[in-house]
Amino acid sequence: MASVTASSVSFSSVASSLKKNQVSQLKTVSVSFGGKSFKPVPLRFRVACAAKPETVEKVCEIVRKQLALPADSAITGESKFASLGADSLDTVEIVMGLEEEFGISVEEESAQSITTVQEAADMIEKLNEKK
Amino acid sequence: MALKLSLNSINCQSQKYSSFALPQMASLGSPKFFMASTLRSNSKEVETLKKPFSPPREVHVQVTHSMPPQKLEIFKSLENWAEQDLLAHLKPVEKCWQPQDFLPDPASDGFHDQVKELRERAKEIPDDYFIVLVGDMVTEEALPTYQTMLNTLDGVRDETGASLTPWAVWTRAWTAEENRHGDLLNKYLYLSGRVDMKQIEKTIQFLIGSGMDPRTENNPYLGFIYTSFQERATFISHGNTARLAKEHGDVNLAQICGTIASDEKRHETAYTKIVEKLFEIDPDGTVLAFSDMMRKKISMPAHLMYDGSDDNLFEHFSAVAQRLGVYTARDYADILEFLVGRWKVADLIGLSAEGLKAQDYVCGLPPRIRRLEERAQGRAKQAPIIPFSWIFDREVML
Repeated sequence: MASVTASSVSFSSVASSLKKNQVSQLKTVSVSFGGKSFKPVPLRFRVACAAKPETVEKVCEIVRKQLALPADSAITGESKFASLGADSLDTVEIVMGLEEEFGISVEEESAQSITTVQEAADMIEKLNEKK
Repeated sequence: MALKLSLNSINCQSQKYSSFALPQMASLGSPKFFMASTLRSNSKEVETLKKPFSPPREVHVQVTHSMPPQKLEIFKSLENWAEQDLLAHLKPVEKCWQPQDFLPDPASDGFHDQVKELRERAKEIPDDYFIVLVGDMVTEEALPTYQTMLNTLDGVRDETGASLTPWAVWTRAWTAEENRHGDLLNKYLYLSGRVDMKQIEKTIQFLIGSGMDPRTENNPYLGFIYTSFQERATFISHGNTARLAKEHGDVNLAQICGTIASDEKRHETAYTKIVEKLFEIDPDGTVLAFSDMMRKKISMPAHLMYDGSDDNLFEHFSAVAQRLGVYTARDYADILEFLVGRWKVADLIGLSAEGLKAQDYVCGLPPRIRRLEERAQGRAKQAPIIPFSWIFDREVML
């Protein structure tokens, strides 16, 4: 049984219920657990367990520093490194900075898949969980 | 984090994270990063068309004629200088060494004994050294590609194949000098008996067929910066194979590699002089060109190397070259630092805003590369041992 918190919905449980209902396009989903029914909530398919905001913020800081962007520049979870002006060397150095900041070790294969701030933050959380 | 650094222009692993460098780096330990610009960059990269068993074919969206036409006259105006100064770096043919000077003499009665001695010395040299020597030889043998590349450059190309401009004279004579390198290494390897000549010959045929993509855009600024870098890289590389040959007790092979290295040094001097002139005449344009080439990464000429079975042949060869210390990511950083110093990039004045950014980028790049390389070394995993068709599928550690 999935547990539904106030702030997030576990995607995998929703997915299985979706399959049963054979819903292909879904903007909102009504979830029922233990007799209670929740209001339909917009479902962000990408977010399984969102990284903590502090993590995302730290990543933004590291990216800002690496790319020498002004303190007020707009960097969010969705921000793509490449769009912010990072070249391949910058991206490598960003990951290195994240390793140092968070005390983690990133495998090359994982590193290759990081293109946005959010992806970096999610990977950090995942690696921290494993510790 | 293991970084894939490919010095050489990316081989088919083009989408690999941070792969760039001349030789390709499988782990941060190898110079891949700097060898091939296999990095996922901002530039539009065409997806590698990788059919199984096809030669690696990584092609960036090809930019052409990026030098503005008004700059053509710079090269016209340099023709007198080229005639006086540049051509002076060529050696008259009569004074040049020829491959026969270093090989058993077929016209002599002692030929068979000389061959026997060569083969005995070669037996003492390990397989991993031969992998690197073969890779170097294959690179040299792809000379048609390099002469072609020089003739793609606006303002300096040989228009007819017999043009008398000093640029054209230089290019033909340079090609002629380089031609001896491949010939000499080919004959040595053939006589040594240590390698599978047919596989090597196949590799050469594939490579010449593939060409190379140094991203010089018909632009002689980019082109001569590229060749400056390359000549120094080959000088270092052949110098190291010479040193190693000596360590393995083969003085003749050491002389072979050392002689080739001295040619490369002379060529490096010539090409860096051209770029020095460009920095004098057009410091802003030249520093922008330097930065552009470094951002794109200096790709190795043989990055599209393929032998019919190993889709990552260049990467594997580069890894061995890195491990043996023949050509490493450190060398890439050192060459860059040398050129920054040689061309006094830090002292340039009167630069535009873009030029200043380019100057900062280029001057700041060597330490960044070294830091990357250090971390890679610290994380280096146990390298795999793989077969190479060049040595009859005997195995060598990457």
